[in-house]
Amino acid sequence: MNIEALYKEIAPRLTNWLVASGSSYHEACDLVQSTFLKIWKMRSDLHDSGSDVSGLAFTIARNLRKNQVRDDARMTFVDEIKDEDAGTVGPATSASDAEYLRRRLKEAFSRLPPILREAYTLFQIGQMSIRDIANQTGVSENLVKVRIFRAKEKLREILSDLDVT
Amino acid sequence: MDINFSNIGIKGGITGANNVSAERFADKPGVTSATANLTIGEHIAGISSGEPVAEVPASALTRGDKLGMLVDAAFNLPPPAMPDFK
Repeated sequence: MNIEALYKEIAPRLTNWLVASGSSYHEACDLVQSTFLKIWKMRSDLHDSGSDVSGLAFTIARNLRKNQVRDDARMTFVDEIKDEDAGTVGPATSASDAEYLRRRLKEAFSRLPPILREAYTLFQIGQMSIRDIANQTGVSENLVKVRIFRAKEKLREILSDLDVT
Repeated sequence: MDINFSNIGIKGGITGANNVSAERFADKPGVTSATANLTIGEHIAGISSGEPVAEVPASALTRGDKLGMLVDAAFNLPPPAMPDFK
């Protein structure tokens, strides 16, 4: 298993998916590292398929986050990502500012039903295939498509001022 | 015994059991024709919302629309440093 190559491929998607799902940047970083250390310990039982490992990584991270949410009452969906955390500079002032957009989107995601939020964020930010999301969430591919579609419709409604129609 | 899965499904849907599947009843005593491979909760979800379950156009699932581009721009944070795999 080329864990370093897998890390480079999966860790960026996983980090951003965790942030979009409600974790702070620091929490996401801790979860990503913990996830890959678990995968490394399991390496003798795994096939060296990037797709398999990607799905496993998202599953492990999701479970770790569930445990964290359960144990940490401070977790909220609208956690600010501090500038120094994310490597950005300057306060959020406009719609072109990534931090501003991130905050708006996290807020919008938090207003989606969890099943829609999960399907859409795994699809768009996790870059997972419909089939992988179906396996991940235990529903049919058709239902995954419907959930993504509905999530996008609701997000366009919530974010109508950002001209995303 | 004749089991009506539609009725079972509706009950499951109403009570929020979104993953009630005909398969779960296949090995129950008296069930002789549990061949459906249908997630009843999915069916009910479609009915209750009034939206089609299976007819999502491929064009609606693109990642490169305005919304997707906005999301990609916002969630472009760097990953943490690689752990020390030993």
